[in-house]
Amino acid sequence: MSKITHKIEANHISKTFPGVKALIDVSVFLDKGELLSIVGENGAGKSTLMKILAGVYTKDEGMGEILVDGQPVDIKIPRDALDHGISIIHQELSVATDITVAENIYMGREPLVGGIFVDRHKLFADTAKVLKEIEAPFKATDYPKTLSIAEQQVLEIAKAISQNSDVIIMDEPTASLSETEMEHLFNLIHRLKARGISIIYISHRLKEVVELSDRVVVLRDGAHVATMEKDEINEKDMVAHMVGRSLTEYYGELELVPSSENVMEVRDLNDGHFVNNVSFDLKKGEILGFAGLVGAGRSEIAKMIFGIDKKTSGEIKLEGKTLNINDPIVAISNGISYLTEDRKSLGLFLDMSSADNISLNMLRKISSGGFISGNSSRRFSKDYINNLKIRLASPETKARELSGGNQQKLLISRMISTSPKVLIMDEPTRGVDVGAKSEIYKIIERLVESGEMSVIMISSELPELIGLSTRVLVIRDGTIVHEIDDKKDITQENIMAYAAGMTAPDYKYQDKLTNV
Amino acid sequence: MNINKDATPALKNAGDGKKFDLINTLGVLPILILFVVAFALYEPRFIRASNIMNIFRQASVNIIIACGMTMVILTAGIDLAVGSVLAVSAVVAVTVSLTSMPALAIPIALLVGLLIGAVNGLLIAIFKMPPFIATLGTMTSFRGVAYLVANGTTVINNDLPYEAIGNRSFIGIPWMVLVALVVFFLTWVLLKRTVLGTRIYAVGGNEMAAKYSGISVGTILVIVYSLSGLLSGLAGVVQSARLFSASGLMGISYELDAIAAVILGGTSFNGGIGSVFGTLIGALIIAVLNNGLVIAGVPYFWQQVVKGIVIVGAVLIDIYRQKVKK
Repeated sequence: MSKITHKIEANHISKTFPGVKALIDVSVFLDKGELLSIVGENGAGKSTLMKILAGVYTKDEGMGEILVDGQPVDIKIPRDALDHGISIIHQELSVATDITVAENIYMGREPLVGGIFVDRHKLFADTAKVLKEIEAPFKATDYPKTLSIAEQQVLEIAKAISQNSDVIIMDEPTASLSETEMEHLFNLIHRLKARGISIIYISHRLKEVVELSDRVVVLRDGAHVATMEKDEINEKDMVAHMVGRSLTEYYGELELVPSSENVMEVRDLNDGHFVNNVSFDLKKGEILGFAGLVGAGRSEIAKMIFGIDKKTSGEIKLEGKTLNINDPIVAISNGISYLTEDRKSLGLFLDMSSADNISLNMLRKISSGGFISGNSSRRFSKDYINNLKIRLASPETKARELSGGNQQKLLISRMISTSPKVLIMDEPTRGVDVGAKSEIYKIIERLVESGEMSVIMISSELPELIGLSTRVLVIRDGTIVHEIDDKKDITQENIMAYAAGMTAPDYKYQDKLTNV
Repeated sequence: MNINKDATPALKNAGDGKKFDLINTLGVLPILILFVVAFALYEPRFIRASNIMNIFRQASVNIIIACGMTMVILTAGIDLAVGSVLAVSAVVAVTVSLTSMPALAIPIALLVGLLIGAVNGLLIAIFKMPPFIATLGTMTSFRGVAYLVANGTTVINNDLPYEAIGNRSFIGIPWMVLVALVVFFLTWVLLKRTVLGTRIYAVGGNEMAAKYSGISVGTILVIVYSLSGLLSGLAGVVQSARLFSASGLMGISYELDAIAAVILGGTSFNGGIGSVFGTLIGALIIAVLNNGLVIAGVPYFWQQVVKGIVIVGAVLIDIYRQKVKK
């Protein structure tokens, strides 16, 4: 075969999880010193593909191949990937904060004296060399707990370099960085490329993708939909490929008409360090979108309203009544529910039955005198399972065994079981497959249309936020910087201009708020 | 686009859990049966009705304590203080029985157990102390309290008003066995058929999610440790009834047998998974081993070795089973 040899090549990769095809026959390649961006909506398969290359997941057996320098390689565990020079910088950094930078970088492969003692002199000398190479802004003897997230990221990159990796995968590296920190990272990326290191870059921020990439691969619903070469990379086409379908297919089936009456009024909410002076009204029957970048403070505001995080000042009124919410118990009993963005850690009881997961907030109602009969939870959950079309073998099936979409519906069932007046939904379709997504959209719309519930929706997926919201508040740096109250003005451009800080904050919306 | 095709296959997979349910429910019951059969074949005296009743009697104190321990471990906690609580309650019970108000012996002993348990619960819930540390501390202190109350000796009452619990039978079944079985049944009802029980599983399964669901995690923990203390106090009453006496030396290392019973019964140390039925079987396995190894004439030191191996072996089997399931 006289094929061109690429630095790394993944051909016809598929990955099936129970219930979901996460990747379907995807092929990508990357040359020495190149930066390849993988873009796509959440759940498109970007992270899955990267985790396969990094040995975190294994690809489906019998299909496809991974080549490094033209040689087929077998990557089953992270060690295999490292041996072939592939490192991954995960979105969630895994730095041990209480041991030195040097010990972090050489963890598990410390230079030894006499086979058992760590050669500390060499450890620090080697680390210093690596840090100098990438011009890191910290020393080998520093403790990572004193480093910022951006610096910890540089630490992870240093670790990759020290392992002689020549392919570095970066998963959403800018998700929690400030503008200046991002500039530093981009400079470092250019230096790495100049040294011949190849980078695979995953990001939701299309602007930086355009700026950095030599090639872009677009994934959608687990499939490869487009490859764009350097001179054809632009945001508009990327979005078109990523979305790939008309939005009306999913959203806006119902014409929602919010009432002019407020259900909730929030004034001057502060948490003392990040969230500052957040004020807004929530109208009856509206879906109020909270737009913003990851880390903008949307979830923090939601958690404060729900009583998880403590507020230092501010007022929350529900239907005219001032509430002192210092615990979720108070929020729930007054009619405020919060659907967490992290359903596995903060929402579900994975080893409990699906029925129990649904009925958990209504145990008082299904019990008599504290006692619950054997099947009352099953009976209670039946309506939700039918109405929300939750697919499961039996109500006794453990939540762990359901697919992401059905798990999310379990959680939504529990949230609405208490008939809340305000439902805050944080990333309601994260990690949910496409079919379940559109069903969840319908559920949200139906709930709001029935007039019983008003929704605050936090979403990083702009298409769904734009498609569902009747009004949008843009949040940045812990405060509301703009309001878009006309449905037809809710566009990606209008949101991003304020979310990314390209347009100066606009506090006009506050003039409309009454004093309470 | 294969939109709808992707959404449904979960249905097929979801059913796979079912066929393991039976194995899960039975837990280590096959191991118990195996031991009973093996001992019976080796030494027919083992299977006599009188010896079987002996085994139950020997298991009863551990069953009572282990029921409380099951609830504690279901919340991902541990209660090391159970043996010390047993001693304090036993000494208090016998001491009160010698006063002019002997009828208060049992109520006061139970109350003492409940209160010590509540102290554990408060340390863990309010001061966020790791359960291991908190109960290690109270275990040590209340061991001292037991010696102090007993004045360093054995408190004896040959006319113990409640001695029947330890020595007499009702329709042929020793009272202490009946007490243990009632405790088992009530614990089962509490865990499987009450709001509190569901919340205990919820707190143990995912404490953060429980908090987000408006469950007062602290309240649940205080209740659970209080119940563990109450049951340890009851165990102290039973033990002192059997002996007509009590001393600060009672119940030493009983926490280990209780923990072993819970773990043998398949309750996860990580919380949220397990059942008190498993604990009952676990406690019976330990009692069968203790009894059977003696009857089979195994030297004492070897009994210890075998017991340890059985505990590790049974848990290994359990881990393997969970793996197969995944």
